[in-house]
Amino acid sequence: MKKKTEREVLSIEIVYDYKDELNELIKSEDFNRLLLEEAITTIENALDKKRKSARIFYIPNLDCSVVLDYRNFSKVLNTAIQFYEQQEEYDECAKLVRLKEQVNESKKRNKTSN
Amino acid sequence: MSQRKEIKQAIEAILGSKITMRDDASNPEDELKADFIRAIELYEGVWKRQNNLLEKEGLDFTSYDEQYFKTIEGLIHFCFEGVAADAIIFYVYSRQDEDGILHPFVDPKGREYMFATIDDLWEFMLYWAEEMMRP
Repeated sequence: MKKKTEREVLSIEIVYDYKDELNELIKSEDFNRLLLEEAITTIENALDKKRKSARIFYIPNLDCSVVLDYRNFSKVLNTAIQFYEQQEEYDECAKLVRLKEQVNESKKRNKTSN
Repeated sequence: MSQRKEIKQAIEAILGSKITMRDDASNPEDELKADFIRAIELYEGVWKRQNNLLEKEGLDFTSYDEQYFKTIEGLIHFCFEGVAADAIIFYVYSRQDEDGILHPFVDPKGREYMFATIDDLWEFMLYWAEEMMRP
């Protein structure tokens, strides 16, 4: 796995020969942390800019971007909260709970205005 | 199974949510943004050139350029919805005063938006387009 920045979006090249190598990557705490941190940052940015989706990172070897839809922001935040709970990083959990509330508030506002 | 599909499943497992793998090779939004930025930067460049000629060389091209600017403004109003057009024109002429201080663009409901960069203007255009689509 190589990591570099391209434009404003994080760029991660994911190359493997065998499926086991990809499974190793999924289990890697560092990789989980990297993806969740990037997802949180892009969700915050999407909320700030009132966007309906968040482009989390770019995979140059597939020439595609990983995009998270607005309706799934809460799910990812739940996953991140569980991750940081396991790591006993409770300050981060508290921050994410507030962010999740912000997402839910935003959903309510949109329903009301629609 | 293709590597693309395997990678998608792996990322979904980590994030605990469905994702979309969006092809970037021909992303129409990026192309549209690039076209918009190119046009607005040229427009702003011409405006700055006129101001620099006046301030640094004492050459007043205001009357000479007037028809030209009126043409551009007319085309902007022709192509964009009223508030979006006003935001573009505000970005070029008025967002920054002579002392370099940024001023906010104010929409008809009195909400303020700061355009520090052309990206901010683009984000506003996307936001405003969504606002216009609301029933």
